[in-house]
Amino acid sequence: MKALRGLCWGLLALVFCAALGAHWIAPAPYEKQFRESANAGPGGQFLLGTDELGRDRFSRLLYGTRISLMLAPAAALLATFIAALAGIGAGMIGGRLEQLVLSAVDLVASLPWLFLLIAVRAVLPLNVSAYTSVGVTFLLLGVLGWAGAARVIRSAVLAVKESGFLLAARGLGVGGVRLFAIQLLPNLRGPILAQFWLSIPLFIMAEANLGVLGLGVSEPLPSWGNLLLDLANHREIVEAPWRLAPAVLLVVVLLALQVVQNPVGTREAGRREVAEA
Amino acid sequence: MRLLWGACRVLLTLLVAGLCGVMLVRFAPGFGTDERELNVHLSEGSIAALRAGRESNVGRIYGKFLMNAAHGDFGVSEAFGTPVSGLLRERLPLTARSVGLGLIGAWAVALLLATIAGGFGKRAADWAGTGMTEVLLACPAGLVALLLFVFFDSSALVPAAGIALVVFPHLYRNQRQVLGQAAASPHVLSAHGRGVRPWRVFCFEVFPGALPQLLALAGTSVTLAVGAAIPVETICDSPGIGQLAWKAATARDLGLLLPLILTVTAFTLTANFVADQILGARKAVVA
Repeated sequence: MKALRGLCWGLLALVFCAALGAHWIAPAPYEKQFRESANAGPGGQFLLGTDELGRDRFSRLLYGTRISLMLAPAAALLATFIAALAGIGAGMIGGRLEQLVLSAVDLVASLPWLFLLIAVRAVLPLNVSAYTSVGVTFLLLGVLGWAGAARVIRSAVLAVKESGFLLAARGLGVGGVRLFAIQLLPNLRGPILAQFWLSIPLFIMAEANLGVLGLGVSEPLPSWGNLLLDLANHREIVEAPWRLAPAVLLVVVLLALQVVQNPVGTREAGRREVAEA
Repeated sequence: MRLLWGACRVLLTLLVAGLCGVMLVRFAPGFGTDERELNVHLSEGSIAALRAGRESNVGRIYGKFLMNAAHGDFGVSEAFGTPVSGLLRERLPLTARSVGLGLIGAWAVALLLATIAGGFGKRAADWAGTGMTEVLLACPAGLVALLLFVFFDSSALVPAAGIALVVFPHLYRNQRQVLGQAAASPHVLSAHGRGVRPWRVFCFEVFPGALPQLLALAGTSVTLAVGAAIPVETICDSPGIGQLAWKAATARDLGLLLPLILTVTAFTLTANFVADQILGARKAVVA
């Protein structure tokens, strides 16, 4: 298991570095069209062939990986920050704030995640530039994806709040910011970090789903979501399996993320699902 | 009393969800603009009349929406040009069928594998279930639907199969854990020690012990299945509620999206409410 985890870390590092260095590694810019070579198969000039507009698939995959892999953690950071604020506030202050946070969590959890995403995405302007669509997509994931994590963090706060060492610290006269910063926050680091790590694959998948539905990152910018959309236009996947490259990379990266998250990830995912249930 | 309180909670959540939806629509960019105002043949008086007939107060918009909804009138869809209630009536049965079949399929396979793996401790079933779970958890619903559509597009069961594949890993992971924990409890081990037959131990000790968590999971699985219906129905071209939500979103038909979201919320809340009530009734019987 250790060797598998090491392999997965290595794979993730490789994909991450390739995505970061897309500018230097990619043979062509992601939007450059080679009209004379549209729908070309893999070969010397085009490693994964070209799409119907003659754009190099390999270059688009590298740039798309960069967008999906860089922005999912950013959205996860935002969601975890909101969840930590709400969870810690609800757990520490209690009373009406706690009721308000729990009601908001219930409300968000009562609606299927994808329905909520597309409803809020539809409210925002759809005809926006490609770069704005990237910002809107991942900002939306960050702002809407906090609910499950907030409930888990609140539970962790309640557990720490009742613990012996915190009562002892209170008894010794430690209070306010000092109690929060020195006693509470270090003990919440584990659950908060676990929620952050769990959110990354969730947001990568959510972006892919939005992209497949045409509501994610807009063309000509590539992302894993809109690269998958390309599969729908081609029935001859068996004859042209290289078109599956974005799907294979997405699944491999998500599998690797699952493996490196275990066993903490499995335990926290279970806790989150139980909390949501 | 518990039933009444639960029903009130569902209703209140639904009302708050509706209010949030109306606020989103009201403050959406472009609210209140009407393309008819661009018609050069209209006089200033006509344009003023058009603007005057438009409501902008959130409370009044929501009140009017609720009054009409109470009579089964959800307004007219701008994108389809037909009443929303008709669209919902037309498409809801198809989604209910896909979601129902998908849930039955996912529950049957997941429970079978989890029973063999968790309840009877068979390694091969555990590896098969865990392997399928890990791979399917790494596949977005959109990708599952795309692959199903590419390879089996003519089959009417494809949307149900897509939903089943999306729900299965979540079900198996939890069922395996719950049944495994129940099978490892001291009274179950004691029953095994006394030589009680394994299937008898499972039916009378393990399964009843795991039932409360399985019931809670049943409610959650409905929410998961309904969520999966959007990409699956859209990609498989199945004219259900999921595809309607996607069409409403891409056409920015907020008047259609709001009742749609409320319908789905009511559906999932009711499923969770029913699961809670069965769980509560069972607890009362046990007590």
